[in-house]
Order: sequence, then structure tokens, then C-alpha cells
Amino acid sequence: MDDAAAVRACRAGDADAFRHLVARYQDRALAHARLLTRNAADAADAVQEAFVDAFRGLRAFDPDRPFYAWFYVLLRNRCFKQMSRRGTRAESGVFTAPAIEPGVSPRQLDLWRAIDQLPADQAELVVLKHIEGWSYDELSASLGIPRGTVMSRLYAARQRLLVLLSGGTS
Amino acid sequence: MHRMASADGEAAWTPADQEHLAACSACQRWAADFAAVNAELQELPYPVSPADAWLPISERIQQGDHPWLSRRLWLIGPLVLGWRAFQLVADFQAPALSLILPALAAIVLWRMGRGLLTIETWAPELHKRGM
Repeated sequence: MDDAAAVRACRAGDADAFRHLVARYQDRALAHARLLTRNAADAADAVQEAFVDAFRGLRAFDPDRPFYAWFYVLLRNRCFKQMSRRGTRAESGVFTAPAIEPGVSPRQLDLWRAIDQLPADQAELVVLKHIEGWSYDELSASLGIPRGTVMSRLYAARQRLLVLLSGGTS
Repeated sequence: MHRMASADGEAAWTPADQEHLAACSACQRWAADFAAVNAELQELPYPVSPADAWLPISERIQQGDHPWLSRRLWLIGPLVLGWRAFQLVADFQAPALSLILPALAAIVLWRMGRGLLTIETWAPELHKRGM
């Protein structure tokens, strides 16, 4: 079942169809939330709340548009809400526990760790630009920041990432 | 940054940039490192979630649209019953206070409940888009 079909089924009253969207996006949502909150428990809570928000807001969503781009705004707001409600309880290295990363090779885990060491706003841009494939304009519109800021933050993020991957510290 | 945008495919390479890149070994190294990291990032899989998120989400969905409302009412219900019990036991005879005191207590509890129990969505981007 594709995203649009799942959304239409949910709107028609089949709440179980939402399971497809949760299954498809929970991994990336959790990774994004971890980078924003820097706290595994807060990230898990934010993901859960964002999916509930999404289910309740599906009537306002155009199924012909990409689901995750719409969902990401909800997730981001939930992460900020979670952080402001509980205060900052940042943990170091939310991508370091090998037991919870079975699908990731050691090199890829190093890359995640390097991303994890970037400031949250830079890490978010790197992931959305390179893994999700969003354009500068899509990043600018979704995150509510000017295109020039997207470019300058991405530039700084990738410079820092290169340093981190070459064994330096940020 | 213009070169970065060009390397990202978001802007066209200018002849001046191409000329510079062909001549400058430092920029060639930068471009190669940049392209290598970008390629790795594009192939980077997301870590697998430790648990299936569906079960708690489905439970929340089945709770209905406003679980916080019922939770607030659970706070206020015992207050009203307690107040009524106090009036009967103590034979309380002040009609104005009988209305005002529980109303004030209900307002205080409602506002406390907002911080303690509710989870609200702050989504300026969605409001801007009229969602």
C-alpha cells in the first residue's frame, strides 16, 4: 500500500491503514527526533506524539503530496515541545549503542556519530538534504529559514563533518 | 558557497568556477572530499528502531481526539464531589462561597492540568499554510 492509498484509507475510517505509514517512517522519524532532541526517551515520545498528531490531522493533508515532508513539520514541533517541557536533558552519543543499530555497518555508524556531533540545526540539514534528498528550497520552506541560511548552515555542517570524519574534533 | 550549491546540483557551474577548480589543487581536494562524503550520506541507512511504534500509537488513536479533556475532568470530578460532601457534613451555609470557591478551584486545576497533562501542538508552519 503506498502512502496516498494509506492516507485515503485512514480518511475513510480504516485506522489500521495508518500502521503502514508508521512502519514505513518510524525508523527515519526516530533518527531525526534523536538528532533534534539529543535524548532517546524524548525522541521516542516525540515520534509517538507526532504520529498521533498526523493521524488526527490527516484530513488537512493533501494525499498527493509527500507524506513525510508534511509529517516532519509535526515531528519537529513535537521535538521542540518535548525539549521545552522537560528542559534540556541532552545525552551524548545517542547513536552509539551497537545493540540498537543492527542494520548499520561500522563505517555508517561512524558517519551517524559524526552527524550526531554536529549542532542540531546543522545535523538536521545534512540529514534532510543528503539522506532525504530535499532541495534547498524545500528545506527553506519546511524549516522556515531563508535559502541563504540553509546554504550557509549546510556549508558549515559539511566542513565540520569532513573534519570529524578525518579524525578531528568539532 | 556558490561552488557548494553547484556541487549539490542546485546551481550551474560558472565558467569562472570551472576554470578555478581546474587550476586549484586545494579546491580539487575539497571537491573530491565533498563528493565522497555526499555519496556516503546518500547511501546511509537509518538505524532500525528498537521497538515497533505502532502499538502505543494505535492505543493513543483509539483513545479519541481529546484524552486530555477526560483526564482533566478526572481531576475536577473528585473536587466537586469532595466539596459537596464537605457542605453536607459541615452544614455549610454560605451560598456565594459555595459557588465561587469550587469555581476558583476548578479554574486553578484546569490551568495546572494544562501544563501537567496536556500535549499541545505548536506548529506555526502549519498555521502559515492554513492546515
